[in-house]
Amino acid sequence: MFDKQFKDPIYGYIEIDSKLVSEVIDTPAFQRLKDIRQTSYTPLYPAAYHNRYIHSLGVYHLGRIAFGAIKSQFEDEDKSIAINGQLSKIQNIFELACLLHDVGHAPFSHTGEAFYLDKQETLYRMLKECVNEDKFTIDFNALGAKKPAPHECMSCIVGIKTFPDYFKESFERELFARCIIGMPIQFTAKDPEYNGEMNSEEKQEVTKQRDDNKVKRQESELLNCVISLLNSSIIDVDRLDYIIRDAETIGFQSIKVDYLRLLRGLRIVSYNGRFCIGYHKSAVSVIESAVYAHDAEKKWVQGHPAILYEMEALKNAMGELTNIFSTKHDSNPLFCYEALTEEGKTLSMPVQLFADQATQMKKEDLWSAEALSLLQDGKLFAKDHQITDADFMITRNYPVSLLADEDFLFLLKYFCKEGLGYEYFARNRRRQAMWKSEAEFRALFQQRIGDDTENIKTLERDFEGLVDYCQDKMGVPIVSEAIFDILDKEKSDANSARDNKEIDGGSYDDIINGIKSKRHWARILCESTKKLDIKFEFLIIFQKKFNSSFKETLGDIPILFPNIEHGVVPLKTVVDVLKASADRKSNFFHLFYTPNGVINAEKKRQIVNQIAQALVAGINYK
Amino acid sequence: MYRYIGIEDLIASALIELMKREESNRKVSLQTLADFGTVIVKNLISSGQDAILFLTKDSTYEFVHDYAEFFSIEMYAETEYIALKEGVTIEDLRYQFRANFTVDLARAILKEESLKALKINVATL
Repeated sequence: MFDKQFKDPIYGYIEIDSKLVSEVIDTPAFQRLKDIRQTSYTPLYPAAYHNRYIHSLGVYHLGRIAFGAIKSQFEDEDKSIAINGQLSKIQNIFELACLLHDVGHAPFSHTGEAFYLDKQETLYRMLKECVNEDKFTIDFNALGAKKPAPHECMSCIVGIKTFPDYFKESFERELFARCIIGMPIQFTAKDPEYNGEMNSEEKQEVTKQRDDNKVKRQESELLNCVISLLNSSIIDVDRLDYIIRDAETIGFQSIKVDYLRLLRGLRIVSYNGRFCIGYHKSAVSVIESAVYAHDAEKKWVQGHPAILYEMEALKNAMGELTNIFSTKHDSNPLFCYEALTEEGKTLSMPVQLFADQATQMKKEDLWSAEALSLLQDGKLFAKDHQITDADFMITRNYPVSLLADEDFLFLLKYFCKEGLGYEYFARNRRRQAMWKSEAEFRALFQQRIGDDTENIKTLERDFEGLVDYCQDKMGVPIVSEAIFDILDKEKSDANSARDNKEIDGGSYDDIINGIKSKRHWARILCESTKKLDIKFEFLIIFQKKFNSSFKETLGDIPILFPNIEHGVVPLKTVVDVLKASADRKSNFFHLFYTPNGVINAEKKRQIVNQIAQALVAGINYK
Repeated sequence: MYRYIGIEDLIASALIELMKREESNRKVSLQTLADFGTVIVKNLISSGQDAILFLTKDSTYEFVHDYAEFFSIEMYAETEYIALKEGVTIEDLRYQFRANFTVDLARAILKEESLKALKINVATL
């Protein structure tokens, strides 16, 4: 069928089969992605408005190139038996998975995805039900602490439920879902053994079973190669597109990645006795570039305090909205499958009628008629008890469908005007960053206590505990006067838990030491604010010191050297620069303070230095 | 207000409880860790908290990578384990990972069913 063309700023023209365009891309479920921002980089890079729609087209484009690079290898004698004439079906499902791999993304992409999870693990249950294949369920349950990202699960659910005509066979649903969540097939069948007492018929049966197992094992390995092209710890096409697209779109100066050279270097190699994805030696230089580009974005863009602050504000609003609309029967009203669909759902909240409005209505003898009408419509009730004169509640309904960034922002503007979330709009209300980068943090503290010493590790460890504690207990990572009462209560709970033998001595000591430490740092911050005439209200965002984990996983990629006998070797043995540092450096945190009104540069310098001095003194005192 | 229980809340406590009973018990499988997390979340919910388990592939591997001086990923009989590095003690774990230890979490961890999820024989305690 005739291909349609989409002009892409990165790859030029992306050609897509017009049937796929009309049946998938032009549907509301896919068009929704135009309103899901790819990143949260706008506070730093105002042009970062590219979206999951163009990224999905890009991943589809790269996926086709990647599959094309290995396709001919499936026709080799040693692989074609295992694939058993299913190559074109596999290719179609893989390409569809590339196109739909983000179709379940939440508003503001990764910022919102944790809200897909609920207490009942509905997301995981829905995914398994959608795929409806025993082997998939077994492998999924065995993932243990390696569950897929929530948006990946949701993309499988939305994809399978929205486009059922593409998934008539369970094999298609299973491969599609495995590609998106990056879950390889675990082949666990053991080969039967021969034994001396077998007759020739029995031996033949064992041989047949061993041969069958070999074919099935190879089929799993080859399908796993396809799965890893879209989602794996190597440079998959999803990661490759965002590495290139994010840098090019936002204006971040990074190294160019020659994606054509990289993808054309893809090979299925036989390595350690199994088939897996590797690269031809010609791709090694581009792998280095991709690692550099990936790590630079992670370190210098994603770790910037302005971006971290914005994400914190959005997450706070998401939590607040979830609380506002949740009911006894619907604990996850907003970030759920139904809200993403075209049919959508209705968010409901009980609202109290304004007292003066009710009084006026009574005065004008309108109340009874109005109340009657509301009652008849089933919209008049008290929140927890029978209606009295004191409280008149009505239900307000907010329909939501194809939930995207703008829907969320509408609700944020309407319902979250007071909290941290509203600072997404009201940037002038934001707190000031004490330091703006890891480098500035180091410069500030290194001259006072040195870098990576036990002292700075103590500071880092204690503040991580403080941030997590405030988040758990108050719902925001803000240290303020309220913390002292909460710590007092924690201490009294600890005493009673110890007395009732609910916790042991070691746990009790750990809790009490944690309380002492948190009180110590809260007091230091509190006293500093009095001297500096700023509010005792610090937002803290903890950040890991950047240490590339990407390098480590890439080290095992097999590289093919065709001119060398047994010429498949892991990347780490031939490229030194990819070696990751195994030692953990001390982490750090961003501290945001709340000034009383506008402050000048001199006052700002005074605040930063005096707080740093107080923290250093706090370490010594401790 | 939801409380997310992640790898950072589970791994040190799991290893502490295992090593308290048997010093040489220095590893825990990713499956056991997930089972332990599920029970802890259940315990927190039954005590009135809105807790959610958040254990993803990325968060688990990144955590082990970030704290490489404490942990490593090891394979035994085709099963993945998080193992404690040689020389790391219970005291080291308590110092580094219990700065945010709370009463409700301690209660949830020390309940019989949580310890059972770690395959600790509670009958002998």
